[in-house]
Amino acid sequence: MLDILINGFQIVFQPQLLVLITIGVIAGTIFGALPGVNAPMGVALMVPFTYSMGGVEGIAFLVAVYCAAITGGGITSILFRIPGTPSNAPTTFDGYPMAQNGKAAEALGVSLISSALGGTFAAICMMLLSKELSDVALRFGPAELFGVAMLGLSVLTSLDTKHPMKTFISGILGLFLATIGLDPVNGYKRFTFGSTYLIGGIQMIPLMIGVFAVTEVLLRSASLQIGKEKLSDAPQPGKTKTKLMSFSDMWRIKWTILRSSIIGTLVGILPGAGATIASFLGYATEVKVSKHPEKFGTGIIEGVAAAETSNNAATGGAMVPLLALGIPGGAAAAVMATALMSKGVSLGPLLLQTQPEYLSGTFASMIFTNIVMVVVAIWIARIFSQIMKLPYSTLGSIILVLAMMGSYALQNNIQNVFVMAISGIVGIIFVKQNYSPAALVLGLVLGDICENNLRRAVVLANYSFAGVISRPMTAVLLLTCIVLTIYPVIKTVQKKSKEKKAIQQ
Amino acid sequence: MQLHGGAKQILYIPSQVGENRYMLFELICDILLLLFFVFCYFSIDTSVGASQKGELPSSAWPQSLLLILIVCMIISIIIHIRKHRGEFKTSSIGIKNLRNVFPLSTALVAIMCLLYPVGLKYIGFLFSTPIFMFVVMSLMGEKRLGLRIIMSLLVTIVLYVLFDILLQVPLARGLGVFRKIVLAIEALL
Repeated sequence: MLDILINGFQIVFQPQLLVLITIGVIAGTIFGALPGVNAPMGVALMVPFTYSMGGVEGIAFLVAVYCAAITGGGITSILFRIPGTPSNAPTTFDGYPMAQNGKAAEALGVSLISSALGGTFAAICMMLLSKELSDVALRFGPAELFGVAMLGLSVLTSLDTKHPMKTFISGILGLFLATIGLDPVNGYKRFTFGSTYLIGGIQMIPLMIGVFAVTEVLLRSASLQIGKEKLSDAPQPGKTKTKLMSFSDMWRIKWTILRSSIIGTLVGILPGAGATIASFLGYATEVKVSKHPEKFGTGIIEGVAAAETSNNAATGGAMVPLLALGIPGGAAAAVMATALMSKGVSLGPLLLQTQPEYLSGTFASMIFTNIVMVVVAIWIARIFSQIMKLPYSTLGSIILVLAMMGSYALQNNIQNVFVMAISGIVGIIFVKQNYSPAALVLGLVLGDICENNLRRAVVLANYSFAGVISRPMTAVLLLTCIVLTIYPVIKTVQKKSKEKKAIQQ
Repeated sequence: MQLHGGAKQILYIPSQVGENRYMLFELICDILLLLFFVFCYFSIDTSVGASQKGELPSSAWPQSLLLILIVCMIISIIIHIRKHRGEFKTSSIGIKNLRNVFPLSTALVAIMCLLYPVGLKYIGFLFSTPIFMFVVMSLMGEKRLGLRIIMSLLVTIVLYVLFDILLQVPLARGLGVFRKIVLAIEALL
């Protein structure tokens, strides 16, 4: 194992490769920070540059772009409430309120450091336990993946403890919206109402940008207008310098980072799960285990750290099945697989025996990428944060244009911009009525995974639903999900009845 | 745990002003949502998707979700009515009340958001973006004409360079004469 590590660092610590990784990190962070350019798209855009590189240089460069894109998405999530990539959506929950409370610098610092720690943890796990983790991944069939997705949904009742019913409805509505379009198993049209656009389903990114960014700009504009406050003079969240996390803060959230790193790595290795589910699950876990779950969503560093650690850890996890089994776990991994195969790399169990330099090079470059990323991302965050100094009349307009462009650039499709605009406007009614946009997005993210895996699992269990839920790992996951879903509701009911009794007395 | 961002405290001032007036609007929205779920439940073709006996048909998963949604919406509406019983008599959804929640300028910004994609289609990115920026900045209360013009042009140019030139994302060129102008500009670049 030590040989792999030494070999990996010998490969990485060459001037040419160090420069390539740094360029990859800069490009990846910018891609991530641009709404509409997600991590797989960023990696795909960079593939042509690897044609003139060697195999190891190519994979190191693409890994740098991939990891940095996930981190870069956190910058716009915190500053503008626009998740750069879907996996950064949970970062907005606490990152944006922190920025609004004048703690943008702290939020950015926490985001970058925890991303780096999560990514490094996953890289080390990958190096030490690549084979064992691959075996775990292989045990996860559709039934278990359905259980994991349901576990992610268990956070629904905790997202807004004041309005659990409306939050639950929002989540289920998200799951329902995910069913619009072609049925994932048989390809039948559902709820398309004759629209060709809806055949492809409702795109997650435009909807997410709409309900988060556009709704926020419109609501903020409305509240400032009603408050007779001049929008052009509205106070901005203060100076936005990025400062690193203090050691005491880091120590305070050590268990958050550790838990989220483990969750991120484990979810990352599961085929089809990826960084988005990892970040939601990481955030959900922290809400569940916290002694003060009510503080989540108000702007606390634990929330930012949980989301950012787990989504970056998932990037490392995604490399395990790709390199050790030859199975790309997600879209970005699939793009990397094609780039590697074009170089003649035979991905799979024989990689370690036949071409060990790829395995060790990837491990080492991931660790190095995460270190470089902190420096580069701080620099890029500072550039982005300059925009925060603008008056809100200008900043709000820029956010709206960025949101429009992000939705358009996704598929070069104007209808996506419509979806985003409508989502933003409907989002206002949604928020005003105490429904939860976060729960809606969570449902939308997990919807396809839930249905697809459930139906595949039923087929594999000889068309028996009982056969699906009686699988030991699935049963444990579903039971945990039920307990985690019901517990906050019971807790809220108990609290309310106590309050009632106190008032009566 | 609240997830409406840091601006929540500011945001809820307007709805608190007309709290009991807003509740009727809330009830109407909930009922409309319920009707939408019922419509979707019955609009899906239940006969498709199950090729094998025991296989889940295409409609099973969405219908299960819709059933949950319908039940939850009914419960939510009942809770809402019971909670605000007696207050509905004084409730109304007049335009004045809605304006207290959603002022005209913000409504116009929302309309601009819907018009922008139309503009993208017909007059292209290079023309619709500065117009959108200029109008939205004006609606949001920016008085300085110079700043409005400079920012509108600057943001358009920066985004054009970033997406169209650097990332090779082909931006909308519009139709007719607008398309010809954009093609001429692209030829110059």
